[in-house]
Amino acid sequence: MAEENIIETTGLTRRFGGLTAVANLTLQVPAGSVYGFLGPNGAGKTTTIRMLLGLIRPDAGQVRLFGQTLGLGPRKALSRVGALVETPSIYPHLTGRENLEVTRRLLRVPAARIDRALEIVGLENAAGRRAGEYSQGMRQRLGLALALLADVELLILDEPTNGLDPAGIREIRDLIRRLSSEFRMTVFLSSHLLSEVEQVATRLGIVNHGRLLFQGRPDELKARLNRYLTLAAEPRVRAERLLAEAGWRLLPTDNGHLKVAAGCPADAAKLNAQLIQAGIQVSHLCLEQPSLEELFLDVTQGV
Amino acid sequence: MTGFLRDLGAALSAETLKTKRTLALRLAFVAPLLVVFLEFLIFWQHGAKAGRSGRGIWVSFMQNSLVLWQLLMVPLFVTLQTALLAGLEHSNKNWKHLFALPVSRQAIYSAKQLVALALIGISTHVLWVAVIAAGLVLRLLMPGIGFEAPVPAWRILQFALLSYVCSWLIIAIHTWVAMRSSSFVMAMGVGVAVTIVAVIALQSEYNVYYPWTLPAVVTRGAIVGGQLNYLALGCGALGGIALAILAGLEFSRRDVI
Repeated sequence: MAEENIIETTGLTRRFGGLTAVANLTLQVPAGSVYGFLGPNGAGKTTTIRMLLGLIRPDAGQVRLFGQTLGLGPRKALSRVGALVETPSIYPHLTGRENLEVTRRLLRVPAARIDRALEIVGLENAAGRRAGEYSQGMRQRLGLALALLADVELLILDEPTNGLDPAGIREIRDLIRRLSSEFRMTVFLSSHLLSEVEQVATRLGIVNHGRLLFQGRPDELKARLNRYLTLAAEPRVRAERLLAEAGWRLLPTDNGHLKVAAGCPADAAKLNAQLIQAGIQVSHLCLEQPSLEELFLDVTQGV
Repeated sequence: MTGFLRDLGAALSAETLKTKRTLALRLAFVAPLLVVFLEFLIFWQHGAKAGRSGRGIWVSFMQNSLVLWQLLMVPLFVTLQTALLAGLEHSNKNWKHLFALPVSRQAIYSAKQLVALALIGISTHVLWVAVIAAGLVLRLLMPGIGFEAPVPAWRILQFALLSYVCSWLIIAIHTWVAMRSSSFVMAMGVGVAVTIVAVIALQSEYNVYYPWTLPAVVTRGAIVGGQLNYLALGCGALGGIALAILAGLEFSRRDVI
């Protein structure tokens, strides 16, 4: 039976003492998607992922993987899941191949899976070296290889590019694309960096202070905020007063330019005419489309 | 149950690979050899005076070795081995990986416990074989003090195995401590503390109730009095098994934060 949502949570909640790390989280991760789970540090991403994998029990709510509720009993659903949570879990005194062999024995999968996993992550030549000698990027790739040993359909990656240089980040990003397109995996990927997620994600979930602030496609997020005008006008204070009296909505700004909510080029022309008629000099006027980064900050700082 | 046993088999197989290039197996040989070597030196220096009156010199040599082994070496050695096995996961934060696999957590814990038991078991066998070997060397080096007598191999083996079975409770306790705490200092601190108490507790009338003197008390009773304290033996053996199961259950239910 094909599941519509590979991951589904309802009202997921977890507290640590007086701190609510995750509050009433309801996620839907469609099959075949690359789901970018975003939020600032401390937003509740890792706690959520640990609950998805059964590492932490929720105080309330439910996790369903492949349509099965995750509980303390036999966790068959996890046989279809590969995970990399924070730092890769490797034994430095064993070689890369031996590290994979440890997990292979636990999973009772064929020995050929090791070579396949090494080939996917590009570690064939380094497999005979001790994992303790690996670079950070190689360790991350070994962690991914561990997650790919079984015949998984869902990959859960928690900050997989942590500590990597730009080349390493690009490698991981390309690998995620390949896993999604070539191997038809569903990828649930968490990060605090929108820039590394927006290039691969087909669906986004934004969380902060444990609450889900947005869930949907990237274009749906972009549609949430309107365009705006940035302008430089002198005298500035008189320009601000005039615009406010004329009914324009002034937006917060962190540089010398004014920022005004606007919808179309005609608004720019109308505003420009009003300012010039009032004797205000306009040296810069631009209609902007907010970047996903600005939208992300707007959504997360709005809580 | 079948699923658990399959998972246990897989976990044991994985665990043996993890100990590759660690000190676990070397320690299992070095620790008992060190004890027997010390006792060998004492007998070489003092001859028959090092033995115990009323018992043959072979049994004396075995008993002296066992006392050293049980009181001083076993608590610290078990602490080291269990800390090593647990540290493989603690130091690399591997619990989050292991417990996210579709493998019974109880099986993973049990595999650690069984490997610890196996390592101490290996040490026990090394101990009694080393006692016989050392005695044979003393027979050559110091004729006339009693090592010419037939080697009571079966008795020596029995006392060694008795000591081992009585130690199961200690092994279960230290496994649980090592698995629960990621701090090596904590594990060693517990090991040192219980060893110091054991040296004092051995003189107490309640010495059979203290897990770390129980093996020495039971073995001494068997050697000296020829009587086996079945109740104490049961506490050590069955208590160890029961604690291992309960500790595994408790550990399995913990959150991996």
